[in-house]
Parts: sequence; structure tokens; C-alpha cells
Amino acid sequence: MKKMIFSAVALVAFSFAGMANEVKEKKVETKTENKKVEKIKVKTNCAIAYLEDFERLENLGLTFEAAGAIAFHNYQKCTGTN
Amino acid sequence: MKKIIILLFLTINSYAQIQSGKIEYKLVIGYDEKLSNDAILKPYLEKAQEGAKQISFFLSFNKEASFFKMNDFVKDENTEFAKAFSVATNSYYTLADSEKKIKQVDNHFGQFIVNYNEKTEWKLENETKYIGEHLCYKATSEQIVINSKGTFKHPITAWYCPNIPFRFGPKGYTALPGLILELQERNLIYGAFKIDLKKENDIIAEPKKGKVLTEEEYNKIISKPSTF
Repeated sequence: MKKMIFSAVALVAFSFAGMANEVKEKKVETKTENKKVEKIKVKTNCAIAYLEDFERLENLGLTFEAAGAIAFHNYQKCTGTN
Repeated sequence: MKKIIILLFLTINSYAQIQSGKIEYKLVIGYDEKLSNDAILKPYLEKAQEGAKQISFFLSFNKEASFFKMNDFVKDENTEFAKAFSVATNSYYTLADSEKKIKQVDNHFGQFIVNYNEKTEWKLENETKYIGEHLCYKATSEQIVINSKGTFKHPITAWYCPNIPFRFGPKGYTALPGLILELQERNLIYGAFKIDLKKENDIIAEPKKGKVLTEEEYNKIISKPSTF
């Protein structure tokens, strides 16, 4: 009888622990999703800035190479990838 | 008078014995009205001007060929801007008796060997100045830039020294009657600060690393902005 009660208590305890883990996992998943969305937003804004820089530099008579290199360096700085 | 003639002959003769050499150039990014008047680009230019103090190049040459390349340096935000403004990642290989040139490219599009032909129409001026012990003459030309916004012309000034009888210079510029010790292309100035002339013949190897392209093929790639 004692053994049965112990087993039942243990089962309930484990299932609560399992549920808690599930909640944690969902929170982590949401956080990861948010981070991904944030990263995409940053990348999009930086890409727009890249195109604007590229055009602005071309307008001032820079070569494709120089305009591209300056704009790309700025893009890397913007996304934190340099 | 005899002494002067003998001295002059000895000087010319000693330079005639030069078989190869290596020149080191400092980079200076000067003022540019258009760039400085643009509120967004002005800070980039200022960072590049500061970073340029850390950037130098070398030109190795012999009687047949030359190779111009950036020296290694410590990277920071300013030097990266300077590198971008001067497209310093490009190296140039030129031949003494040909307009055929090679540009070795290493940028965010990849590594390329670009074969191109270029003949600069130089105008020889009477102005002279000394760079170190070398009497140099001024030559001028125009850099013609064609991009998606139109055609632009920027001034080029070269100071070449006939007493170093090699027809090479920085950034693939050639065909002057003497080595170019100072070159200004728009607001980019390449000034020699170390001159090493040798009586031995150093070998100048043709660059090979990168996908081989014509100038047209390369321009097609770089004329489109990067896709991210």
C-alpha cells in the first residue's frame, strides 16, 4: 500500500515537472521566434540603408566598386557582422 | 663644367643599372567638396581620412612587369572605411610593353582575376618638384567613371621621375617616361615614402588566384547592388 501511495505521489510530481518543462520550452521557442523576427527587421533596414548609400555614392560620381565597398562596409557595421 | 657633366653622366649611368625595385606608398584621402557636403557621407569620409593614415601600398617592378598591392594593417572601423573609399583590396599587374593589364579583386562579391585594357591619355606638363632626391615631372589626365547615374570625370595628377626609367605607377597607371612616385586620383593620393632600387632582377609573378573574367563580365557583377 505504502509503495502504491509513493508511486502515485512520484507520478504526480513527475507530471508537474514535465508540464513545467513544456511551459519553459514554449517560452524559449517564443523568445527564439522574436529574436528571428528582430534579426530579419534589422537586416531589412540595413539592406535598405545599403541601397540608399550605394545610390547616393553613385550620384556623386564614385565607381561601382567604391560605392559597393563603402555601402557594404556600412551594411556589415549595421548588422554587426563585420 | 666638366665635373658637372661627369657627375651627371655617373648619376644617369647608376640609375640605368637598376634592374628592379620596390616603392612603398602612403595613402592620403583628401577633401572632396561633393562628399563633404553630403550630411550622410561626410562622417564616412572623415573616418576614411583618419583610417588612411594606417594604410600603405607597395609597387614591385622589374624591366618587364609591375605589381601594386596593399600592405597588411591592423583593422578598425576607420581603416575599413579607408579601404572601401580607395578600393584598396584591388591589386594590379601591368606589363611594360602592353596595354593589357590584370586587376586582382578580393571583395564581397568574391575573388576575381580581371583582364582589362587601359591606355591613359597623359598630358605632360612643365611643372617639376623633388620627391626625395628624385626630380619629378607633372602629368595630368582624367578618370572617367561610368555608373548607373551617368558619366563623371575626375582629375588625375601624376608625378613621374625620368631618372627611374620604368613606365609603372600605383593602381595600374603606366606609360609615362619614368616611374610615378606620386599619384592623385580625385581625392586619393598615393605618395612614395620608401624607394628601394636594385641592380638584381627580382621576379614579378602574375596573380592567378580568383575566377578569370573580362572587364565587361566583372562590371556586370559589380554594377548590381548585393542581394542579402
